[in-house]
Amino acid sequence: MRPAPFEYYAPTSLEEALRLLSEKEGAKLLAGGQSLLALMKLRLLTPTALIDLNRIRELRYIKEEDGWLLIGAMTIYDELEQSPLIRERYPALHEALYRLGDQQVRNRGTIGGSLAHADPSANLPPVMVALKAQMVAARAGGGRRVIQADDFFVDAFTTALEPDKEALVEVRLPPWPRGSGGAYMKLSKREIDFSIVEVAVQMTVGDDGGVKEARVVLGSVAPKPYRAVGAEEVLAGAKVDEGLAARAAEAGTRDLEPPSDVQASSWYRKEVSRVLVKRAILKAYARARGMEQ
Amino acid sequence: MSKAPPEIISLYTQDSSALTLKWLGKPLKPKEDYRLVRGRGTFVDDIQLPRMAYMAFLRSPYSHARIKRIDVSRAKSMPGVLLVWTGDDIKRRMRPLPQATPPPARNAIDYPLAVDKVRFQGEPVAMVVAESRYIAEDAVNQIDVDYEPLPAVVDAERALEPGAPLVHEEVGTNLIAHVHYKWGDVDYYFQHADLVVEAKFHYHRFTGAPLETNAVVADYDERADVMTIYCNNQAPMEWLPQLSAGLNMPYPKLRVVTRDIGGGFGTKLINYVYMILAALASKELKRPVKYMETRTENLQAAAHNAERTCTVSAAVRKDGTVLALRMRCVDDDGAYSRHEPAGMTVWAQVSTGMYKIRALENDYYAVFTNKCPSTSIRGFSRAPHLFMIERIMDRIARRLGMDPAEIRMKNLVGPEEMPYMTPSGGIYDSGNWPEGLRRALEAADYWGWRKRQEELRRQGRIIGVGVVVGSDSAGPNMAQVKMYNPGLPYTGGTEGALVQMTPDGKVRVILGSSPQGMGHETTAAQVVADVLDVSYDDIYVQTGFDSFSSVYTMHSGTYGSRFAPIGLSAVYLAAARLKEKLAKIAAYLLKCPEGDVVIENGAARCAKDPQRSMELRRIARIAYGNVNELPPGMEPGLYSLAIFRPPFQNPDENRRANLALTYSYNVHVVVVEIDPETGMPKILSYTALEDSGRIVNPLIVDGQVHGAIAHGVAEALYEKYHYDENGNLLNPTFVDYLVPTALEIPDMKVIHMETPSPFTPTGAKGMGEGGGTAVQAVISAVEDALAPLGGELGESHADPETILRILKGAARGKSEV
Amino acid sequence: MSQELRHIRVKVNGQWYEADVEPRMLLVDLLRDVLGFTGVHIGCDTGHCGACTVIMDGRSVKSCMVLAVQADGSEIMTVEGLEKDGQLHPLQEAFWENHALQCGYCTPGQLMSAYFLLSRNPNPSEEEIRKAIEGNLCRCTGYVNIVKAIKAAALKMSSSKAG
Repeated sequence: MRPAPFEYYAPTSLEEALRLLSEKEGAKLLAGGQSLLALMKLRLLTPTALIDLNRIRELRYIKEEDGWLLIGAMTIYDELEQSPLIRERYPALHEALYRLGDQQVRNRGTIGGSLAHADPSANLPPVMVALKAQMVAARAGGGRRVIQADDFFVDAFTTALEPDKEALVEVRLPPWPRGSGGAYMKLSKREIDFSIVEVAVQMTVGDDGGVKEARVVLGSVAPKPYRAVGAEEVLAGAKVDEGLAARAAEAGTRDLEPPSDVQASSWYRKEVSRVLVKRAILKAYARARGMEQ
Repeated sequence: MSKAPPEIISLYTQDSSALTLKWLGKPLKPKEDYRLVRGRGTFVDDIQLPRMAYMAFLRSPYSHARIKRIDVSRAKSMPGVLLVWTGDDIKRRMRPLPQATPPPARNAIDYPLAVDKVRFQGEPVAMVVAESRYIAEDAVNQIDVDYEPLPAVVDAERALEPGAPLVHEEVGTNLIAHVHYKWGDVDYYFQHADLVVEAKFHYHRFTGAPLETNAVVADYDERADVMTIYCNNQAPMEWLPQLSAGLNMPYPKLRVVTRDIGGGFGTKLINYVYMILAALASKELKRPVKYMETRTENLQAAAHNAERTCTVSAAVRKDGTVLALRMRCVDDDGAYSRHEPAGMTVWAQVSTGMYKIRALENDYYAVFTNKCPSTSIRGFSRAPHLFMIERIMDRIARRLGMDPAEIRMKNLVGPEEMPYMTPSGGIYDSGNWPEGLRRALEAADYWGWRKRQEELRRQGRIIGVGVVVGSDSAGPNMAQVKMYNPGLPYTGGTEGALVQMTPDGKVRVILGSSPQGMGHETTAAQVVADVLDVSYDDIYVQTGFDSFSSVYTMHSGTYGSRFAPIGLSAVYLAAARLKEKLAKIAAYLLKCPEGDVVIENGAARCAKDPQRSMELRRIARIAYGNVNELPPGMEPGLYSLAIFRPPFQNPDENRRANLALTYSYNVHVVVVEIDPETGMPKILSYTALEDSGRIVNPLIVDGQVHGAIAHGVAEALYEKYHYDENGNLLNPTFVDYLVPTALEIPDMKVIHMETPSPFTPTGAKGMGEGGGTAVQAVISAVEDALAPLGGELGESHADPETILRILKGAARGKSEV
Repeated sequence: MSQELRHIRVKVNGQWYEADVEPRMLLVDLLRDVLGFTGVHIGCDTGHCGACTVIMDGRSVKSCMVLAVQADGSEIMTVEGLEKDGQLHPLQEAFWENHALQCGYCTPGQLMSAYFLLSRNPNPSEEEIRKAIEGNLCRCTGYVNIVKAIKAAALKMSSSKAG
């Protein structure tokens, strides 16, 4: 299938792209295109114009600043997945990237494209929420603002970016202290699929083995990443073992009302949410304690 | 039932004296692969003709609706649009497609574009031909249709109930065909059985999803009044009546060509509807017209397998002997009968599987529903038949407390009974099946796994081991269709081949088949090389099929695993006859008694005097050019044409007939582990034993085994169509129709036995479809894992949710399934 | 609905080509229908099958998920570019020797994914090979011989480099 006609712009600077975005009605930003072009080929989306961000070099970087990791929105998954820095410091993100799409998708798809698309089953949004990432939005004329990941995802395929005005330009990952660890788990029938359920856990554990801070976030179970606050509460201050992880998982998923679709029913999603949360907590805890890579 | 009578055996037994066994069995690098690894295949979409236009379809969003109005005016007025047609335009140009069904289903009116009513989601409603694919799709979006939705019938059993919505009003019922036959004294065995085991199973809906979708380029040559259709149909000559009726052209004016085909798996048998539409448009526009189906169209609306719901009863003795079977099945064939209900009776003789079952009763119904039309997907007909028997064998074993391997061993046909005649008249040609089972169990470390299964279970791990036997029965006798429609003039199973030694001593081979990756160029060359004892490299096999040059019958094509038993037999015959002619010429030229001429290493020599010899290329030069040197009266040239005809017969008055020429045998042993908390299955070990007679090329045979296993694993664990109650197909793209990747398909161990078939000159048997054995094996393994918890699987597909529901139900002491 | 055409330059298999294309034209259509590289195959609409995989500026991409205009100025390698001076690439040799294909429709994509894998991991494990081709569906081989062939090619390429 082939896309309907559209106007095409390939700006080489961010400012030019933002100006086009504000001027062209019905325009969409084209990042890696691995979701957008598929939807356009199926003619489920027919934007009047595409503003291609692929020629904007200034949006493609991974750099450290004051302990933060700053990632340009047009950085492709593969570069992130191959980054030793991310593998060591944000194992949950590394795992989510490793299990995202396939090699060709990872060679083309971008972190900004995925997050701005805000697919409720995508790998990265729950990880961003778990890591307390910040999203930097820019608009024409130099205006920028920082949006916490918790606030960035508003609904299915909807973010806090102002439509036709703002673009996501940078993702900022905060430093997590010594004694931190994370894990990402996804359940899908095929490895390449969007998840039936996915969970990202990030936590910091004190020298005594007690959890100082924990964030447990699920994907595919709600229109936006789901903070399993009940699980986080059970974890707070606790020393984690199998039983505690199970209790946390139970508490964190009790109120879930996941959707049903052709791959799985709501019942199944809820059942395996509990299982995945438990397992991811155990894995993240072990990592935080330096007991497992 | 018992060993076949001697007169039948001698009728079927073939002469194989022309074989030298120098080239058969070697892992020669496949001829086709050289062009394909360089991206130099010629698939339909690669064909570019001057002034070519492109076809696209508007398809129905409804599964069942009346078409009230179609407005094509906007589409027609778009620049670059050459033609827009609806069902009414087609109706004016062609007769309805011939129906192979018995009355009243025969009254169904089937056009390639919907007329008045749509009967399945995705049915073509209008077509556009335009200057580019892009414009054609743009125009499709500008066609407006008013539909009046009708209640849909999506459940085959309910389709037969009074008051069910009718898919075809003109038929008056949703019943396509019904057959009821008994072979042997079924009632006696059921009365005298120690126990009767009964279960209901569902064989689910899936497809073959070849990587290349259906495609066609139709090119009408007005000057010659010839229609050339480049297509990827698997059996183009089977559809000559349809094409001729559709185009109103005699057969000699229809040139149908296949080149490289990107997989078929049965789905490409019924793409003749596209061939007709593209050809009609080409004739109208006097321009070539190309159509390349999109993946979504392919998955939604091209060809599914027929679903089957079946109640199986087995009459069993306490010692595990299975005496007789009863099956009552309903096949869901979808909205049109374009190939089905053939699967209902095709290979009906394998309903009793590989076992010495004495009697069989089949009560089969085929029905229309508002779903995609069905055809023969890889493992066609045998797979659902064998699924039922293999599943009931597991249930019987469990009831009797026997091991599933033991009950199979007990009932398998023994080597001393070969060739074996089944209750329905099937003639199993050869093999030592119990020995094959033993070897497979050993190779898979079956008994070791049984022990580990117990140990691991104590640790809370859930392991299942499946062992099933099956048959790749191959080379069908089309007379099987007479079992539901006695009037159909379509019987037997034949194939043609032309082998020509060209004047330079090389060999040209033309086949009647239209392969989709089965390596026919390779195996045909090996057979010719073997018979003529010339170099494999000197043999040139024409790619694909061309009705203007190929030797064909109406059975010609590539389906039903027919090439090894039937196609290669034709090649053998043609080569053997050519060899005889070469020997005759050599005898004359060498002044050697004909019986003493030996053809060897590319030369003919006189056995008594090796000095007297000449190269075959010299003979070839003489045969075509220097013809005064030929024996007086001999016809020049070295052409040899053969059509192989197995001694098939029509079903007798008791509907007994042999319906396939060869019966490959396979045993699959699978170990699965189930995640107790998520229900996710994982294959830990896969072992397959295959006996497909003489192996012509082990690379190709192994490849076919791998592929059949991959399809079976896919069907059992990943691929399933989901329709909702309104007939909406919920997963028509590769996003949610889950074709497995390299990460899902397990590594597999393949071992062989090699029992030549006495019924083919090469000794090779048809193989490659696997008979659905992999589906049976995986489901058997999953059920084995769940069995200690009281769980049973009723379907040929097990997804993690189904499994988890069983586990949870079992944990709570009740079954939810 | 015809659109303003864009003039683009693309280097394919070492040679520069120029073309005027609609912005919506997919790279795969440029390669196949305009430039004649029909070894690049189309097997789906959604970017799942990988038959159209090519190397673009050193990375494997699905050419049905890239617009032709986006390739302006890029270097592309298709399956047709693997052969050098009539010599098959070791991957092609290995695919042939191991019969890592049947219908051959997915083969060009498999080869390009394998090419990308070996370009940065000359000695991959079986797991890494399977992971590397997860974006390339094959319906014929069950992937068994594809995995085997990639392994064999890797071995051959690394030993010929070492020697």
